[in-house]
Amino acid sequence: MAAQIKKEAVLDETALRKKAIIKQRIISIIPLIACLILAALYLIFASIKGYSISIGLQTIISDATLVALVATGATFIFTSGSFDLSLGSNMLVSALLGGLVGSATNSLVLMLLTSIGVAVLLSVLNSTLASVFNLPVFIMTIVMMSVYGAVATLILTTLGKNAQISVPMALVEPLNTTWFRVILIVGYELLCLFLFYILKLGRQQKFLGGNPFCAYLSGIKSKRLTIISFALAGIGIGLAAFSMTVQTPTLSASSGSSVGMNMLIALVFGGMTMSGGPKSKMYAALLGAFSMSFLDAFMNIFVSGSWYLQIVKGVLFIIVVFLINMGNKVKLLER
Amino acid sequence: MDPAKNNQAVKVIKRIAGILAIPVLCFGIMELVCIANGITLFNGGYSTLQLFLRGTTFVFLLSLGVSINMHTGRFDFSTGAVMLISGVIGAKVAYGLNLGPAGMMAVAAVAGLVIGGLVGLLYILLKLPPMIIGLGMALILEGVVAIITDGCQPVKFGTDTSYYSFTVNPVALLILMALGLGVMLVIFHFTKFGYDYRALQTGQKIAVNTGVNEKMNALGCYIIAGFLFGIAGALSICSTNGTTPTINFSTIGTMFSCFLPLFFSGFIGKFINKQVAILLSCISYEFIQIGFGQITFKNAAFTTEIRSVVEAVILVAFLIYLNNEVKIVEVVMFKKFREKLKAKKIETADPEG
Repeated sequence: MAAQIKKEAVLDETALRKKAIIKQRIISIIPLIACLILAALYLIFASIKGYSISIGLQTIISDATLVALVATGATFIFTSGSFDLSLGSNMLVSALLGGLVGSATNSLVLMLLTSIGVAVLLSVLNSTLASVFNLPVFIMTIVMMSVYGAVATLILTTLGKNAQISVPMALVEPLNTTWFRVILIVGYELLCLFLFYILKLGRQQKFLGGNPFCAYLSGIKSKRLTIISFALAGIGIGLAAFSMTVQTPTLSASSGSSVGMNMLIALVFGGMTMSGGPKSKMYAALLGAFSMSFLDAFMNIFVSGSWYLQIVKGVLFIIVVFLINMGNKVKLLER
Repeated sequence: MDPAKNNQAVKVIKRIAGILAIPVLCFGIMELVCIANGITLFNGGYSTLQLFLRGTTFVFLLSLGVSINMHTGRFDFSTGAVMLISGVIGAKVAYGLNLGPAGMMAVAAVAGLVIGGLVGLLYILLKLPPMIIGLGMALILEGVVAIITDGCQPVKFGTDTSYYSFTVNPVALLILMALGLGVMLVIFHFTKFGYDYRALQTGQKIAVNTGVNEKMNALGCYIIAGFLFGIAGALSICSTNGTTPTINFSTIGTMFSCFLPLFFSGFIGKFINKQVAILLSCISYEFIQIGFGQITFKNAAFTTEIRSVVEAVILVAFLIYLNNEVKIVEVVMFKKFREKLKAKKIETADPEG
């Protein structure tokens, strides 16, 4: 009798475990399903309304590239439990300096290298300052956001014409194609997937983000890992800065101004946990960026005011995070 | 003299020095910088004083509101959006119904209170991180503002100058500051809500386990913060005689403008009540702002961008100081060297001990 009860209890436990795993798997594929639904909705309604699908897709890829590049790099930072709000202004400074070098030398390679170099340098500066002086990374990046913003305006007013910096169109035109953007994003994504899933770097970052104390006791050097995470994010920012300059060779203070915040939304739409740790996914950024772009394109078919789209984005943002966190039983309020 | 009394006197002096150090330093440095540029800090006389009071009131109300949630570890990105929407509602209603600036402040305060409460309600119902709720609500509220203003059309007061006049009226500004300070002092120091807040602030889990209603407290925090943001938003719109709303996360940066005073208050707060510390910090911050304004007036090369960089450098320097205070004091006071010297002296005096 006792053995029977024990057997039933074990069976119950196994069933519960299976149920929890299935629930978790369903939750984890919600972002992918959402992206596919949005893509399908866009394609169906764009065809019905007679919009050009090829032009629409080009716009979607172009919009998604910037956000995806920045957000994919930022995944390294978020996974290890850090946070960076200065990515958008970092991108602008990198693009401006890259643009200046590109204009002066007429070389795309130097423009690319400058954009990446400056972005990595600024990104590493954030984490180094925070590490050396024991400052909260979050606060540090907020401060640096305003510093980089002011530096960008300073560059524009002192080195630009009419607060703008223009790169010769002839220089960037050969690269201003959808194929170039696809190659850029696929190449960077593959590199990040390799670093994140194949090398031990990704596992160490997840460990650090999930339990910093345990990670420390296991011999993970948190400061070094954080600096590496910021540097890798810098590469993504630099590529995004280069891509932005290629797309719009006339740079002003408002260039890419919303990328910094949109990348946060993209990460969440893609199913990335904001607290980082073991549940982090490298592909979330790409998925989220395309979901957002498809949503933008779909909404643009029906409404003309971008503010309606913003409201829908805000509502969806909260709903998606709520759905992803639905399984978590929290007694205390999150901080 | 009695050593106990002597100690007490030293403590009081240290405390007063701690309270006044930052305001005096800010005033002194900015006055010196201004003199070096051939002007004085309050060069414009009464009009500079009016601007000083207006700036202090705005940043004080904003800092008080931000401090409520930030000091409990909640980072609310919707601060700027709540300010904007409350101010716009206040302006539309007051101008439409001819309520005047005081009426606008009241309407904006109520609107802020309701919208802040809505943000708080979402936070406690969905149990999501405040940053997520803040980001989502910033998007939604900015969108709503755009709808209210017919697609981000300017909000103006026509030829009515009473709204602007209100923001340079010292009495009105002092009343607003007193209202903000009074509300905060009463709620956070003389009510159960305040005691619960501090319990949650220092030990969330223990406080909840001992019966503190965390959800109601969090909701209350958002409501009070919303009330203060509402008044700050209205003041901001009046001081520029209207506003042109923008979307795409343009409101997020608003809350960062009170970071420097809030970090100043982290130091002053060690010696005095938190809310008074915030007031003194805001006064210190405004000395810097007025000083920067005077330098810009005298020297056009000192642009807004350079001001922003200098301000950010001050913020970073102060943050470094706050987070490494013990080490810095040790270095400055040669503490380790003195300790070594003392130990050597004892060793020399009593080689066997």
